[in-house]
This record gives sequence, structure tokens and C-alpha cells, in this order.
Amino acid sequence: MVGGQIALTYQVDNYPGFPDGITGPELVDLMKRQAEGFGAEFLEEEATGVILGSTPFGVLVDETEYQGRSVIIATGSKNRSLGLESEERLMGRGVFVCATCDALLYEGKRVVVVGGGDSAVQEALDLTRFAKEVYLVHRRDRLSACKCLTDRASQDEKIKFIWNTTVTEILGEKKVEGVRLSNQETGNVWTLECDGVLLAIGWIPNTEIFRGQLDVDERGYITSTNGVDTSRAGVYVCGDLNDRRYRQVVTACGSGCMAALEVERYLAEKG
Amino acid sequence: MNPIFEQLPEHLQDAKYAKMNVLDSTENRNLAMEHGVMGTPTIKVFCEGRDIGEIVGFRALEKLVSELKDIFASREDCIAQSTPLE
Repeated sequence: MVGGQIALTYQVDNYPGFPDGITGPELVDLMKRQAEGFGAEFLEEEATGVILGSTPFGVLVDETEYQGRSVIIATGSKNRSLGLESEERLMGRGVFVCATCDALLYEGKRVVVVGGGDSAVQEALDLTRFAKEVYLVHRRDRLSACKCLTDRASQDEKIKFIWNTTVTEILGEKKVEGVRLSNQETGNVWTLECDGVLLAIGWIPNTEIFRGQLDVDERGYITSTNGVDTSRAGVYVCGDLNDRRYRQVVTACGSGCMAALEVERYLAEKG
Repeated sequence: MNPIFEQLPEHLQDAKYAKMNVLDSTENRNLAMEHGVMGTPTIKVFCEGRDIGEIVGFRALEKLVSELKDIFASREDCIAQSTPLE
């Protein structure tokens, strides 16, 4: 999907040049048209492998190989999961990862948000516009989200906090009916009835296809020394893959620009 | 999902397609919720007004077509049991 996480964001209010804000899909469409204006071609396919050992580099989509003298990697990241069978089975049937996409389908319902960072608290706040009650379940005894979000959430009557607790099972056959919770300190196990479970427990970089061909760190992120370079000359990385801290559209665009300029320089030097 | 969704009519011609954005209006949202939709994208298959199956989440085109074909296969039963709409 062109646009990745932005395409799933309902409203973008902090991208420069749009004083009234813009919807994620509209912003993506404008960027795509701009790139096409400069001759970019879009292939909506999933890269299944890469060949980076020699030039020209290759990007594989099943049997088909696309070749290039340089490669920019902007594969972003995906939501971390709890690793439960029930979570996969009930995905889209009460389990969800994007409040802005699906919150309005939970009007008047009770939703459990799992996590304690910025995205968990932001998603919990977004949900309160529709949901009747929001329970934020966090494995620690305090939020790791920024103060502004923590303050807003603490003052919100719809949000209730469950500390030191993990979700050990999501209950329900065809749709979510509840969660089984386990308190890490007391060992107490109990069930909370709910209609939805929103997972916001962090991100995993989409770098599986690059392992063994580029250096990655212990968390799976491609190692970069100057921001956008990689362990192989001519291959660059940008977007959420090399910005674990800010994860904004504007920072992703900034590193995309840096990667493009590096490609230009690299190709000019290679002649 | 749009590009894949829009390719469906080429591959499965004997069905009618309707796209509904739950963000567009309260009516759309309520209709989705009445039919038990809890996530996007969800594809619901109806035959003679009967709900005969659903596909939740993203799929590659090939997989989507094959899953839809399986759902369409149950259509024979549906037609046998239903009164045609005039």
C-alpha cells in the first residue's frame, strides 16, 4: 500500500504546508502524484527478497527481479504482537491496531488498550471519542508516554488504568468477548469482559528480507552511521526504519530526501 | 486495499460490488456495525439478501479471489432456499 502508516492515519495536523490539516490518504495521494510528475513508477507489490551482493542490485517480487544501480529501503515497521493464537484469529473481529482506522466501529463499547507508550495513550484518547469505556492495560506501574499525553489520559473519565498486568488470552470464538489478565506482582488472574482489544505494544522493523545482506542491530533495525547509509555502498535506508524516536511524517520525508540526495551523489561518483 | 478490490470484477464477474467507507457517514458506520463489522477492511458477501460469508483483513489478489470463490460456491444453496427479489 502506497503511503504505509500515513495512509492509515485519518488526520495529519502537523505536516508543514497544510494549515488546516489534511487526511492521511489525501496527503499520500498528493505525494504520489508529485513523484509521478518526476517520472516515478509505482508497483504495488510486496518485495519478497533482495540481492545486494553485487551491482546491479536486485529486488525480488516472487519470481520477478527488478534491478537498480542503487536501492533505498523504506519498508517501515509493523505492530508488535502478543504472540497469542487468539490474537491472530480475532484480528479485525475485535482485535485491532489502529484507533484512527477502526475506533468508530466501537461506539458505545468497552475497549481494552494494551501498552503504555505514546502510541498506546494516544490511541486510548482517540478511542474515548467513541467508546463507552477504555481500559489501558500496562505491564509496568507507570506510563512511558510523554507528559502531555499522560496528563490528558489521567484526566479523562473514560480511561481506567490497570497496572502491572499483562493480557494472557483474548477470549471469544467469532468475535472478542473479553481478555484474561494476569497481575505480574500478585499473580492474580482474572477476566475482563470487552468488545475490542487495541494492541499498541510497539513496533517491529520490516527488515526480514535484508537479514544476512545488510548489518542489522539486535532489535532488527538496519545499522546506519550517518543517518541513511547502510553497510553496503549504494544501499540507503530512510523513514521509520532509521527514526525510532520521532516517527513523524515530516521526519520520514526528511530522511527520504537525504537518502535520495545520497543516491544522486553515489551515482555521480560511480559515473 | 483499493487497487486489489478494484481488480475483483475482472476475476469474478458474476457478482455485484459495492464499496462502503465507514468514515463517510453515520449511516455507513451503523450499517457496518449492524452487520458485525469490527475492522477495516472487511468484505461481506450477500446472496439474495442473505449474509453468506465474510473476509476480514488484507489479502493478496490471488488469495482473495480463491477465498471469494469458496464463498460463492455456497451460493447454490442460497438460491435454492431463497425467493428471488422482483
